Order: sequence, then C-alpha cells, then structure tokens
Amino acid sequence: MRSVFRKLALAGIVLCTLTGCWDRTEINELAIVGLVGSEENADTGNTIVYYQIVNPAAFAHDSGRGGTSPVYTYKIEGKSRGEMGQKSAESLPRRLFTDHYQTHIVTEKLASKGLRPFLNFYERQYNRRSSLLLFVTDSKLSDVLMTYTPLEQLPGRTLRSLVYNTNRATGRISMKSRVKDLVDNMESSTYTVLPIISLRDDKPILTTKRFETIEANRSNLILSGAAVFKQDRMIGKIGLRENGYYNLLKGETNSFFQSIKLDSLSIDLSANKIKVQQSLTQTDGVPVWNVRITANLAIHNNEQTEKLSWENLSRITEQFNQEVSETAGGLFQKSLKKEWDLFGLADKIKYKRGGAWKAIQGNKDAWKETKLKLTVTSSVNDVGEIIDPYKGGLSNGK
Amino acid sequence: MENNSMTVWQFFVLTLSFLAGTSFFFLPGGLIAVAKQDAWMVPLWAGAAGVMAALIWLKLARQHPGLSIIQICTKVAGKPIGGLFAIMYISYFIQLSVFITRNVGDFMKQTLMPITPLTMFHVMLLVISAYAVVKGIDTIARSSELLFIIMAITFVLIFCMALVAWDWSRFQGSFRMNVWETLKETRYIFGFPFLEALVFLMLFPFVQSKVKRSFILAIVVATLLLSVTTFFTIGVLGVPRASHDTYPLFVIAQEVHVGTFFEHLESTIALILLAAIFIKLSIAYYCSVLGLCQLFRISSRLWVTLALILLISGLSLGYDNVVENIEFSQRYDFEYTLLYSVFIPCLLLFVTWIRKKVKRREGTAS
Amino acid sequence: MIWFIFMFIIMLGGILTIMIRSRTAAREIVLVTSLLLLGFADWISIFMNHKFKSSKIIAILIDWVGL
Repeated sequence: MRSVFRKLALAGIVLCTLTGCWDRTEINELAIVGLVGSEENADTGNTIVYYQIVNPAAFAHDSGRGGTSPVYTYKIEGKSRGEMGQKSAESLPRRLFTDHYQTHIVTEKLASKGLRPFLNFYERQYNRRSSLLLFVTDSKLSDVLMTYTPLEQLPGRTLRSLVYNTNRATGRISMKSRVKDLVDNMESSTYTVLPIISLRDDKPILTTKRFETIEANRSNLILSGAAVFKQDRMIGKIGLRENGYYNLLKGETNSFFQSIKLDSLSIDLSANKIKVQQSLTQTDGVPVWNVRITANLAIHNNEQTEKLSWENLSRITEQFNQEVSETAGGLFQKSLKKEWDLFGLADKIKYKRGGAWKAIQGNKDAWKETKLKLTVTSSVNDVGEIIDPYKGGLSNGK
Repeated sequence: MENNSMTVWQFFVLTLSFLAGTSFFFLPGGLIAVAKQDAWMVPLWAGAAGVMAALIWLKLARQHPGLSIIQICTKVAGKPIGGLFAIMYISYFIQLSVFITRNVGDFMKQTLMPITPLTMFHVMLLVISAYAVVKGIDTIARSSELLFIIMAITFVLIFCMALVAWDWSRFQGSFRMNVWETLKETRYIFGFPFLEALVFLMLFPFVQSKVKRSFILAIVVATLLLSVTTFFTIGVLGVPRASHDTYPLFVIAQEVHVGTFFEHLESTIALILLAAIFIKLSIAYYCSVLGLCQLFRISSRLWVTLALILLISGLSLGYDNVVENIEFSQRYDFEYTLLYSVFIPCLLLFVTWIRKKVKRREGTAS
Repeated sequence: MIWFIFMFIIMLGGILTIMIRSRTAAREIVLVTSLLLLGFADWISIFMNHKFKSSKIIAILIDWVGL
C-alpha cells in the first residue's frame, strides 16, 4: 500500500514538471492567419504586411449574428521584415498565429525588386511551412486583401482552390507554385513561374453586404496570368494559356486543354495521363532538347457533323499533335528570344559530360541556340456519349 | 559487478540505434552542403573507416576478454597512467552525454517548443535516462529493442509519404566532386557517428557471443541507412534547400502532404529523434557511470548516476546556440574522437603486445 | 540562484545522510560528493554568467597541440 502511494506521489511530482505548460496555446488567444500579403511602401521603403485573420465567430452556427465578417485584415507597417510579427502586438488583441496559413501574396513591384530577403526570412522560421502557395498580384494589394470571396468565405482557401481547380482542369497553373519551388531555383539557372492574381473591378466591396448580392463576379479575385521569376526576381509575365504550354513542356501537369480547328470546325479536347520525356542531345555543336509527349485525349465538344470513325479520330489526334507542337514550339522560341531560360537549359548543358559538350559549355550563350525537337503522340480514349452527332438542318444536305 | 548480459540481437539494435539514431537527423544537411549531389557517397567511406576502427577495438577486447576499456587501461598501463587514461575516457563519455543532451535541447527548443526553457528538456531526458542507467544495461537493451521497432516503422512511414515530392532531376550534376576536398571538409563524419562507437568498448563484456559479427554488421547497416537517408534528402528536398536548412529531415516531415489529411508530421519525426536520443544518451550515460564505478570500485550505481545529472545538465548549457555546437563538431570533433578511438587503443594494444612478448621471453628464460 | 543553492544544500544533506546511514563505502561518498560539488560549481558559473564551456576548452587544447 505504502509503495503504491509513494509511486503515485512520484508520478504527481513528475507530472508537475511536464513541459507543456510553457508552450501551451489556447485557441482563444490566437489570431489565426488565413492569408498574408506583403508589399513595400514606395515613399519610405518600409515593409507593409497585411494579415488576414480568420474570425471564428462568423463560422459558429449558433452565434445568431448575421453579417459578421468571416475575416479581418490588419495592416502593419514597419521598418523591417522581422519587426512585423512582433509589431502586430500593438494592434492585434490576440497572438499572431502563422503556423497554418497556406497562401501568401506579394505585389508585382516587390517581386520585381527581388524576393531574396523575404525568402530568407521565411525559410528561417521553423513554424512556417514553405509548401504554401505564393501569388503575385498586379492589383492594389490593400484592395486584394480586402476582398470578400463568395461561396468560399476564406480568401486564402479560395486562392488555393483556384490553383487546384485550374491545375486539374487545364493545367495552366502548376502545382509547383509554392515558396519552396522558388527557393529550389534560387541557386540555379532554372526559372520559376508563379500565378498572378487580380481584382476584377477597381474597388472591392468592403462590407459583408457583398455576400447578399447575386453577382459573384463583381470585384472578385481571378487568376489572370503567370509571373516569370529568374532566381528571386520577377522578370516578366506570360498569359495563362502560354503557361499551360510551359507546364506541358516541363511535364508539370496532368491535364491540358486544347481547342483545335478541323475544316474550320472547332473541337475541344482535354488531355490527361500526360507523360513527358526530356533529354538533351547535340548535333553539329548545337544542343537539341528532345521532348516526347504522350497523352490520352477526351473529346468535350465536337462541331463536326460526321460520325466519329477510325479515320476521323486519327485526323483529330494528328491535328492535336500538330497544333500543340506548333504552339509549344512558339513559346519555346519566344522564351529564347526574350533570353528567358524557362526550361533550365543552361543548367542542363552545364552538367553534360563528354568531349563534344566541351565546346558548347565554353560558350556561355549556347543555350540560346538550343533547338526544340518536340514529338507529340496522342490517342482519343473518351469520346463522350454521342458518337454520331445530331445533324439538324445539315442532315439533308442543305 | 552485476550479472547483466545482452543477446546478440539486442547488441545489434543497440549499436545500430547508437550509430544511426541521431546522425540521420543531424548529418545530411552538412554533408549535402559540402558534397552537393554526391553527398550520399560520403557515409560509405566513413563507414569503411568505422569498420577498420571497430576491428582495432575488437582486437583490443579479444586480448582482454571480459574487461571494459577502463579495466583494460588500469590493467595494461598500471594504476597511475592507466588511471589517467581511464579518467580521460570517463570525461569523454560525460562530454558525449553533454553533447547528446544539448542536441535534443536545441532541437526541441528551436522547432517545437520555443518558450520552454532549455534546461527543462535536458533534465527531463536526463532523469529518464538516469532511471534506465540505474536499472542497468539489460533495461537499456530491452527498451531500445522496443523503441527501435517504433522508430523504424515511423521512419519508413514518413519516408513513404515524403516520396511524393521525389524528383530525379534534383540529381542533375552528380559524380563531379573533388574527393580530397570533400574528405577534408566532411571529416567530422568519421568522428560523429562512427568513431563515437568506441563507447561500446565498455559494453563488449556484456555480450555473450558473436560480438564481432553483430558489431560490424551494425556498422555496415548504419552506414547504408545514413547513405540512403542522405540520398532521400537530396531527392525530396533538393540540394539548394537541404544545404541551407539546419534540420532537413524536419523540413521534409513538415512539408509532407498526403491529401489534406496527413499534414504537419514534424511532431512525429521529433518523436523518432527523442527515442533515438534516449537510447544514445542512455548508453553514453551508462558508460560514464559504469566507468566511474569500475575505476573507483563502487558497487551501486544509484548515487553516482544521480550526482551526474547535475553535472551533465550544467555542462550542456555550455553552448550558446546550435551554431557553436555545429562548429565544434565540424572543426574539432574528428581530432578529438581520434585520440580516444584510435590513438589510445593502439597504444594499449602495443603495450599489451610488448608485455606478452616480455612475458614469453621470461617464460622461456626460466 | 538563492533557491538553487538552498535546494542544493538540502539535497546534498539528504543524500549524505542516506548514504552514511546505509553505511556506504567512504570511497563512494567522497566520489558522489565531489561529483555533486563539480556540478554545483558549474551551475554557479552559469548563474554568474561565466559559463564553463567544455567544448571550448577541448578546442583550445586541440589547437594548442596543433592537430
């Protein structure tokens, strides 16, 4: 009996020394950050950070308070980046909790100036994951951060869904749009492409009245393009459509959308199960980048009046292969002309072995002369419910 | 002293967890920073060197069966000089415990519990280890047997989940390292973890049979594990990030995403590390206590063990931050460990050999 | 710090009484006491802001030997 008592007492003493007490966090004391935006004050050079804090009260079902804002945006301005988190104590009634936010927005201006300080600051923090999505915005940052998004009330989650959905639907945004993908290419010649987010109208609606209107499009956030980064610096933009081809060539997408014209009738195809093989070879001292793409196609829309047949399908795939090759080739040429090493060719050349590559490696600009040899092969394996389309007036030859 | 002993399997697990347990966590980053894509080769040659050193130790142990290094010191080199050597070894074991304790403190404080005072982690872990030490090597061996399975399963699980981020193109540019330069820059890997295994010179007497085979096998397996982990870190995290992060494996676990359900696995990896550090610390701690007991011929470990908690927890505050810790192990650890792991054992072997020779001559003379 | 010294003295006293009562060898008592005192000195050095850095001493020694 006595030994049991002694053991219990010992356990009690040990329990008192458990370390949890120091680092305990009460959820009621936290300001949970859903979305962060950062920019630089053009006049003073100060850093401005917007923290969008999730308001749990708005999600409580029985609170009975309609019209509560689901998020609140705090603006904090300070001399340096590290000061922000600490300075938030001056305006936030709760402790800033940044562990779980998954979306970050920077302005185009800041991105063009270089994100190195931001990335280093970010990677230094243990409690922040670099797997969060990074966006560039060409709209006014304060407006973007004060936009209500209908349907999905947390803007941070909305942005994430936009990327996921676009990636799944057309492959025009890569899933590799995270902070860590930018960091990965910090010390190489390979470029990074990140999505651009824009505000549709010039002014956001600042109250929750926004949720009462049916016009979902009004002053909402949309993906509008892609920003090209060389190491940590944004050097240009490309359109979403072009970015689709870019992702296709890099093999970073699993779906792809292409609308082709066959006898001036349009056919909409989406590709899935995309496999990309890349290799770099050289012929006569010129590097050649061989890309082989194979894909399965699904027909979404077909304006042809003839019944799908073996022959017709092979014409469709042929046309698809050709149009994809041409457009992707166009993007490749454009990037070389702009001197953008979008595909990391310089690095690929640098790491080649063998005497034949020595001469090419000696020439620093060799990658600009790289030829693209693109082979696309595809097969249709989803034609939809209709094989023989309704012909209407066309059926009797009129 | 006591009549504890270990089975071959327990000894194997103990050696393996001692060697691979913490190093798979702390080493890859530094190796990748130096050797880039080829970092996974570094553990291979270090392991080979580790096997060579192990052969020396095994030879020494074979010459004096049933004796630990402390007893060998006093037997071979006599009371005064041997005693000095023995005290040096004990101080090495204590310093090793200090180092290990500090590792866990740094890690926990920086990554998971930034507000908790450092000493808290140290004392908590030391108290648990002290309990294990008082209970004896048998307890340590058996608990490591259990923890090893948990560690292995968790590690493999995280390994598999993180494979989603695998990218072969991260190995672009391998096989172009400057071997000599790399060897020099990464020489600390000989010291930590391979030469550190000299603590097993204290534990050889407890193993009944097949010491040599299981010890060498454990070193080989640890080498492979370390190499695979480094390879894995390169493939998943990439060279640029792995070489800048302090704890690459932690970052990998942090960024594991399997759906939206399996996220934030960093606490899991911390769990593995804690288990591994417990085993390692228990061994180093046990060796220092056992050394003291053998040297001063004390029969109960209890009070010595408790008294050491105060000393080790105090000494482990002797670093200001993790940078000092890393700097020390990169610059001095190799030379420091070399003294204890190769120099003194060789000296002892040499003296033993001379003594035998003298004895034989005396034998033939008389 | 005052608390630490206070606790230490109580602990030392307690351990010594138990050890003497159970008739432990003098050797052991001396060893344990000296270990405790070493630890105590180290902790005091921490409290006085003159940390004893064992690694630094090893580093200086190795540099001095010139390895």
